[in-house]
Amino acid sequence: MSIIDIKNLSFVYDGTDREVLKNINLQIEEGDFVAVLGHNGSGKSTLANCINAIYEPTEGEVLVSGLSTKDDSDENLLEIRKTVGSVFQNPDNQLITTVVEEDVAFALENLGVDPVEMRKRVDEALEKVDMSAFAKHATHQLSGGQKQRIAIAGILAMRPRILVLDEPTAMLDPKGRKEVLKVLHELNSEGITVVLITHYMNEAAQAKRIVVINEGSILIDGTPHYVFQNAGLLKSVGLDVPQSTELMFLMREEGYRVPLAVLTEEECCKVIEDLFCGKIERQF
Amino acid sequence: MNIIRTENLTHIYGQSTPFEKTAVDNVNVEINEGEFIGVIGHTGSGKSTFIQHLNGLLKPTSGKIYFKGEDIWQKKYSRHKLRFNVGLVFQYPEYQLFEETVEKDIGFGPHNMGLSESEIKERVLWAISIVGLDESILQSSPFDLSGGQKRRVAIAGILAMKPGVLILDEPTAGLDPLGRDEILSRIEAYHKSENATVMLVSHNMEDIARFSDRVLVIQNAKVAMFDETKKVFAHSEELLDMGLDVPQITGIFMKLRKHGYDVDTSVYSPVGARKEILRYMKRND
Repeated sequence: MSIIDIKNLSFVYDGTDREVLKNINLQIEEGDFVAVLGHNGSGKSTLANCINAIYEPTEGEVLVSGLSTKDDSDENLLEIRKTVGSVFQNPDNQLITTVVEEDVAFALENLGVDPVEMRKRVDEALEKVDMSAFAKHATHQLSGGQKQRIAIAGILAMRPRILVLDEPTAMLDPKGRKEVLKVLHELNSEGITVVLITHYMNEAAQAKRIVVINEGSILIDGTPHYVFQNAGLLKSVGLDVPQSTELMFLMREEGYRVPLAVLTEEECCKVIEDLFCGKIERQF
Repeated sequence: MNIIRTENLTHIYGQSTPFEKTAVDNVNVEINEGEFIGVIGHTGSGKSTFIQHLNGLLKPTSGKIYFKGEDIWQKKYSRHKLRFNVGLVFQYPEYQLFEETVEKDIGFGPHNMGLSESEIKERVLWAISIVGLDESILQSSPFDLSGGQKRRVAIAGILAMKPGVLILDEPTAGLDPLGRDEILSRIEAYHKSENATVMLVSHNMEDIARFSDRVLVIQNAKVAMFDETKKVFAHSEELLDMGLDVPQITGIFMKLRKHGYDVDTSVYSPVGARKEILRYMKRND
């Protein structure tokens, strides 16, 4: 059974008649790392909010670990939100208390977790995001990347099986972005399913799977190599491709039969070395 | 001829308190009329503090700032007028929209300049066309627009004053690639059509590489480098050591060089990379 099972999902905001999501079918397996790409207004955030049961489907169904988000009983929603942890774009909107460790404990207090257990989970969560040294620090003095990692720790303390992150790095500098991505990959390697909404291509390129959303529908779905082969299609819907992929297209124009989806510096370096050694055929 | 010049510019926050911090340390730069300058430096390097001196929003702790050769902190100098000439677009400028309609918001600057109603109208129409929005939104509330539109309205509000120097602090933060390209190409259009001097602060090295004539690198409150774009990215190792990114292409060419290939590591764009690859192959044919 897929941990997230989206069947014929359509979504219309109250008081409007525009379908923001149109008949989406998407299965995500436990332990996967899925990047959801799409330009502003493509419907990708709405999709995220359908997974964590903030929005109820207008049509169709979203099953999280077998539970339907349509069942709005308190027990069901609580169970879903314990399974799916959400992190949003602006770190300042997600930190509530003035001290780091109190903030991480916030949800646990609401859930009535035993203090001894709470201490353990808070320490563990801070450890996982590499922020243990900041446990007693004031939240407002942290950098953006640090704040976002505290927001993630607060979610981890609830021990979710899925993390849904809606552009968690959009407001961060390159250093903060790298810190957050590193934490996400570590968590994923421990078995947490990650759904990362982003428009940074290099972040998506590191995922196991990319789902591209455009105008409320799934445009392409596959591995990063598969998705970035379709550079023309991505560009036509306002998305970017990595510079390395663009370079490969330019070399094809010169007649060299280089592979198309070249995502990382290492891969690209290898292809150029092959070119230099004459290992790549020239068509014209 | 330089349009802005700083001389030993220093800014210390919380001087003589336990929180004393030197955010700008003895900075000497000259910016020429009509240049497009990229400004990079990681968070906390002092770049935002630095740019806020250039239109007199912050007063230096010591040192001087000259605009067209005049000391902007000399007695009787009108910093009020200076701010019409040096337009500063803050980060997330859409949070600063406040008027009832888009038209009034964009017209706020020209109104303060004391222009006539017809001139204001003209400026508003011109500014909105520069940022690529339709006149039909002029009567809308700025708060009913999408995020990308709000950002463009906020930038139009500064452009409407037709500043000779336009300074933008991460104008594309949080936008998708399409929104980013649109805003940057609009800024470039303004730069070209008005021969305006532009200073663009960004974390996106590909954007900095694409548009800048020269790049100013600020590190620990000091000028670490200030040179032609190509020359700055040729110091990629140093940039990486400072915690900055380099364009992906530059990173690839650095790797090639490490692997023993005698390639030019100052390339930063796919087109430049193609040229360098072809050149290398021809030479070693």
